[in-house]
Amino acid sequence: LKLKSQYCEVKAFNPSPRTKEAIKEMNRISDMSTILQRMLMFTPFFQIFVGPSHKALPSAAPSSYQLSVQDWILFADSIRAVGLIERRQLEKIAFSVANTARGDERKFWECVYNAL
Amino acid sequence: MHYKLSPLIFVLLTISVNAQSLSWPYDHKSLLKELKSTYSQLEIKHGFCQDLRKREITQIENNWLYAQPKKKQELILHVVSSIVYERCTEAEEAQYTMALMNYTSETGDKTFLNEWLLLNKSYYTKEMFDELADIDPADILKLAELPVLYYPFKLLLGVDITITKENN
Repeated sequence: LKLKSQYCEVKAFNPSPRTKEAIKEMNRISDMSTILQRMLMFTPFFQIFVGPSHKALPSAAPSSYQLSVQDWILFADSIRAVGLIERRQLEKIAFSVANTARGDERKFWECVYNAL
Repeated sequence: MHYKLSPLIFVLLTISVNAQSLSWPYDHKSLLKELKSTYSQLEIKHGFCQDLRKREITQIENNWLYAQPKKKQELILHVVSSIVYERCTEAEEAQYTMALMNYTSETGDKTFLNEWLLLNKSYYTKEMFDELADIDPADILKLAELPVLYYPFKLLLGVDITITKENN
């Protein structure tokens, strides 16, 4: 995983409709709740990928949360369970949102893209 | 009588055994087997191409790219990375697509076709097309022929690549 040091510290943000749509599309390709199941217990922020009603979650994601580089390394490790062809599609989706997003939302998608 | 029947029984047995061992290429089972086999080959090729992407690109010398705004440079390099990646998987993808067409047309089962359509979307947005509207596609294709960009690479976001003018 190549990350610029400190770069992937992302604050929580209100997901835009574009982000919600992208996550929905990612779930069409690969069930993110299964892939991220283990890490959701420790990093509630990643609930963004599975929706608030997911039963594996201990509580709702906090309104403010900083993702560390370590969180992204765990994310990258979890995502390795996805087939290579599917992962390539997830990467395309992440780029397309990062390309137009701003602020922390842009940072978030940059980190997702780089981790895929 | 016993000996006269033997050759006939032998021929019938031979036909029966051959019928079981021969696999008709257009039966559903064979088509599905071919589909899965070509998908596995494609997945292996993706692994090879994704390994190639681990190489790090730190500098690109190109006058045309240098002249583009930074935001546009990122998108152009994304397009180039898609082109060279598709070039890497092209042969196996063609084989899988052919197997998929054969399977779908013969069986009428569109499950794999629908999955493939989802796995082939480019995810270029209107904003991305607008950004590239004044770009001549030939210039992007020229970039994809540069030695430094010829093989698959991953454009990392937030990590700068130094783009310089060419040293002529």
